[in-house]
Amino acid sequence: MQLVNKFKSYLSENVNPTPLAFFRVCFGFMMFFGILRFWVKGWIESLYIEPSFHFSYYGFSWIDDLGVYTYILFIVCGLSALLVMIGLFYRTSIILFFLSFTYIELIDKTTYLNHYYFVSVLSFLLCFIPANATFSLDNLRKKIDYSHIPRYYITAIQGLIIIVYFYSGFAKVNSDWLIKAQPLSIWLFSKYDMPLLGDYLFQQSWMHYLMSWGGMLYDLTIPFMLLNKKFRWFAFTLVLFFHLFTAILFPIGMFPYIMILSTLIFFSEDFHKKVIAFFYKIIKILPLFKRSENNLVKRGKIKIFDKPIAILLGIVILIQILLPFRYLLYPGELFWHEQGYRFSWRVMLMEKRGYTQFKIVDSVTKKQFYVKNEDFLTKFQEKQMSFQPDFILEFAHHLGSFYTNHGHKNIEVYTDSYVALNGRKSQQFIDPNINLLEQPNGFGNKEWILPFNDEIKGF
Amino acid sequence: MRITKFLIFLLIFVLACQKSDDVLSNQDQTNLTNNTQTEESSENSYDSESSETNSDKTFSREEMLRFIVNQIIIPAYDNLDTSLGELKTSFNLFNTDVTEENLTDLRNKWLNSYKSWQHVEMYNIGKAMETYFWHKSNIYPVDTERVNINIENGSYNLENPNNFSAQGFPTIEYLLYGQGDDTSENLNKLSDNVKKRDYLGTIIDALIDNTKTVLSDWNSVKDEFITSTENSASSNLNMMVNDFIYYYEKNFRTNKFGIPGGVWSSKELPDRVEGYFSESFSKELALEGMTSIKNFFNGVSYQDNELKGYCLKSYLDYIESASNELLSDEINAKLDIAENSIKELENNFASQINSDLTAILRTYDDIQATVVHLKVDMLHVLNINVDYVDADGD
Repeated sequence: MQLVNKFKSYLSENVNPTPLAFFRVCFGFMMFFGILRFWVKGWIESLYIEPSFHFSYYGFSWIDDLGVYTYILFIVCGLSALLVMIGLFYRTSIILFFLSFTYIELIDKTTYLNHYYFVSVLSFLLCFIPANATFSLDNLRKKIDYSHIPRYYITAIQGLIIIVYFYSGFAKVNSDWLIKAQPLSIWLFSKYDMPLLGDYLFQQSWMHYLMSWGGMLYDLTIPFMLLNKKFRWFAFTLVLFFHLFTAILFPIGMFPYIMILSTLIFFSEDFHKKVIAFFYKIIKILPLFKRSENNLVKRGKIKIFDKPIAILLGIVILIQILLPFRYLLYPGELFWHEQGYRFSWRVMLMEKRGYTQFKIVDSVTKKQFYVKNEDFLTKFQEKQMSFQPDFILEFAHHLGSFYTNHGHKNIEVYTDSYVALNGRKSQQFIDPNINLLEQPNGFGNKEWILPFNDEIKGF
Repeated sequence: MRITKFLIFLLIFVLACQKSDDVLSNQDQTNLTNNTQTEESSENSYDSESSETNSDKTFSREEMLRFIVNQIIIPAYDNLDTSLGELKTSFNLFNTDVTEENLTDLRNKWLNSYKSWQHVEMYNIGKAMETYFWHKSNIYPVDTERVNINIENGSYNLENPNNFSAQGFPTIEYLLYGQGDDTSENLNKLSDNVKKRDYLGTIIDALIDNTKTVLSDWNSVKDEFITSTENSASSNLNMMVNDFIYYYEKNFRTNKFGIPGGVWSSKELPDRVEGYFSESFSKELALEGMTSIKNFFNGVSYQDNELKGYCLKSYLDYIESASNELLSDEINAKLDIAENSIKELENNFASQINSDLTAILRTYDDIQATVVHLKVDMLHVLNINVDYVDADGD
């Protein structure tokens, strides 16, 4: 009980809001940049507008792309990120950002990435966190600058980052990753064209093991080193090295940079004050700010322990702690059936490739034909669908209603499906004798996934 | 100050790394060459003897491309060029002296060149892709209506995509076999109508020109071509592997068996077979295609079956050197099964479909078994992405 009280008073302690403000600036900047990059690469078109069919998250099939107006969604998302960065109309902006970003992610689960989910969760947390307390245009607008906030606002963000690292490290404690050095063996081997490292180092088996074990230890220990003042700079050097290295090696987009900037939240307020002072130095060149800063006389403190919000933040963190364990509710190999795989910070654990074809059968005449997946799906969708059972089922149902609407009767849908995982030979994936139209979408165990012929030990 | 420096460094790095997180641009690719390969090497990678001992110890991607280009692709194109020359000579003879004997010779020369075509169809890459060589050479079924309109009008543009199915080997076949119920009727139709013979001559010439264009391009780019061995969407190595799989899946499996067998349509379509008008060569042509598939996979020289080189098989064996169940063995075993399955079919697939459709579908399944190994297992261990641009072949 004493410990709980101690923790509670630690959380409600008043601290300087500068780390939070700097975090807000970084977050807004990265998100704006990410949205811009997405646009420039033409992905709004190719990933959201072009596909005629979207794979939905269960319960969210009512969310669809907005046709050409999807661009407006991205404009809203990008602009609100900018507003978050400069801290103008912060509360409205972050809520808009959370909603638009999450909506985009919900359109099609083909594009699911753990770091998109991280952004959604984080921006949800930020809706309740006064990240505009200082170093924001809202300070000028409201003519008040806060010097103190309760610590739990910062702890919530730190907590989420700790969870992301720790769980992704914990997930690497498995026999494929540690004993077989898979999938890194496959990936590094195929990077033979990388300058300096590719032609020799990445071809060496010990290198695959070194990077597997190193990656696991890094993920497990880095959050605790960041928490400890003594190790912080050392830890951050590691963060830089690790994420920039993976950025060069793998096509993982913004993720490394988001993580690098996010870990700065662990640094002391002195560090952040220096950074902010540096920013001010640049900003002060602008005359507008010179004048307004003089007008800003009022100083304030947000120091009341806001119980409902503190509890809410606690609940979000608790959900994050529990959610990755939901896979235990399903029998069989997680990497194979992927039930409970998403939203669990399992990153880079699998090299999986599939080949799945659908057969439409008339149950009365027994006439049958195969579907050309490319008539319905983009290459990217087909690739993702081929090895993920919930995609396969959803697509089968889509085909069922498509052909029924086109006058076919007594339809049954079967699959020929083969999947290879982490260097193993392919094996049949879905029971070919099961009519998928009879199988419901949802969270129930998918018994029609054939059992995995091997065993992967670990979390 | 330390922080200032750090932030600037970080910003620069973020900007600098933006390019590398996705597929590299085309220009970046060509500048990167693979350092692992030895610079000096002869035209022939190595002879069959050393291949036995070397294959699982060493591997060179550049040597693999060198072998494929110099020992398979260019000789196959040379042979196609020669056989088309013979076709043209035979046509000239027939055109001046329309006899049944000369028609028979022309038909033989057509078959001969069509068979050698089966060895180049796979390489829809570079100039061949750019000039739609495959589409102009072997799209079936023939658009007979269009052919007849072209013959009647006497003016047409063979570069027009609408005319892709009104030229090439299937159209030559239509003119040589599809003009009447028997040879003498066909002969009469050709002897009565000089326009038909003109059209025949024109499309043979076009085929020859197209072949020469691609062949001469291969001869001029080959040395540069083989250096592009990165693991990227635009490297020649990956495009070659993708073309091979694409050919196997679409041109070979789907077009020769799947579509006529009704795999995609719930109703069989016997008029979609290759060699439809001659009614006797579907099997021969398909087996020729199978030989080209096996030779590509196993690195067998086009001219000398004893000469072997680096190939997908040796690449896979190199990666799987620790395994005792080689994927390449499984692929070869499955290809043998598929080849035997084809051999069991009637010569004319159209009549096979009409007499016993299940035999064609069985063969289709036997061919399909390897698709999974190529697209899933092989690409899984090679970690090459599938980059199909255009999916349909019919």
